Amino acid sequence: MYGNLTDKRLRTKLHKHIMEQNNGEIPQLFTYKGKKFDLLDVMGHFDKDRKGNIIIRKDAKGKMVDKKGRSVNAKGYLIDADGNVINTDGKVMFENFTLTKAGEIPKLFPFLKFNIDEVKGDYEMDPLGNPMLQKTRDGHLVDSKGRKVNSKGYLIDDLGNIVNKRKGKVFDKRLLEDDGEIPKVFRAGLLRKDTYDSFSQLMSEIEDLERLQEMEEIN
Amino acid sequence: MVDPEKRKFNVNDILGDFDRDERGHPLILQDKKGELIDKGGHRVNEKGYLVDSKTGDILEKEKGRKIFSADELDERGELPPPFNLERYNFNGHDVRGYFDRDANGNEILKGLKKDK
Repeated sequence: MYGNLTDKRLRTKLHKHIMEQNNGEIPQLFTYKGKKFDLLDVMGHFDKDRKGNIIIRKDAKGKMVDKKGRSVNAKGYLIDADGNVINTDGKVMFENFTLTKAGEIPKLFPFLKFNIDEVKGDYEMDPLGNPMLQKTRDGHLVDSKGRKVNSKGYLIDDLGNIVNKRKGKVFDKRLLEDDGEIPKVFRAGLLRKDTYDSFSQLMSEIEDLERLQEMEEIN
Repeated sequence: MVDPEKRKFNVNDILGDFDRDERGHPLILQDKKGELIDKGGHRVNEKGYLVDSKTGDILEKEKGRKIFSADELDERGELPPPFNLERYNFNGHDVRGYFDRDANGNEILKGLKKDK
């Protein structure tokens, strides 16, 4: 039996059904590039005060470090000289600009739901699989409904950020790849599909069940 | 209202109290009038989020503060971006107990049964 994952104030952060599926461990997370990792691999080692807050030390140069002398940010994650969050092997997991000002990382769990159709414009594809888009007089690409899109056909706002059909900002422009693609984790089938119609939802749930059964067989 | 730049929002702060099916989906209840409720009788929407019965706004569990306006939700009652994706925020250290460590820096977890 497993309980909910709570923080130091006993506020639930992950429901017990998620913890049960992972034998009491926090599920592995994804980077934006789709690489899986353990949360512990990006966390420094610290003492804690009576309230459960980590005690971050400073080295001779005044840099924040953990008990092992490794550089950390204010949230206790391991960082390199540029402020990128790294794992224990020194590999960059989250670039500095993807963190909050305080240094918190995004929590991209495999059970998150995402529907890529929500951020795509309406258009036909050419034989090579490229979106057939129209250009306005001022040079902007638009879909068949006249909505602004980038060269990959994703709906964008005036700043180039990816938005959904309700014009809510989904991805900051800086997260996009050079060609305008959204981060790999959101287009490589790594997350669960969030669908509106009931048949797709049913198929998605059957796929999830099959995946769960496969995992059980492996274990 | 929550600030997406701070990554402090966690969906559990706005979810009602439910039993779950085998897939983890909340089993949403109905009162005599057919309104959606949780186990504590609190009004929820079709996704299980606590709502203000008059406005349909999404409320926080702890203090009942308004977190999202009803008009921010999509037609299924789901949260707006980026909160629909960044819905499980927490700090790794805040959900971790405090343990002694061995010479290699590994936490020494006492009282746990180990696999043979």
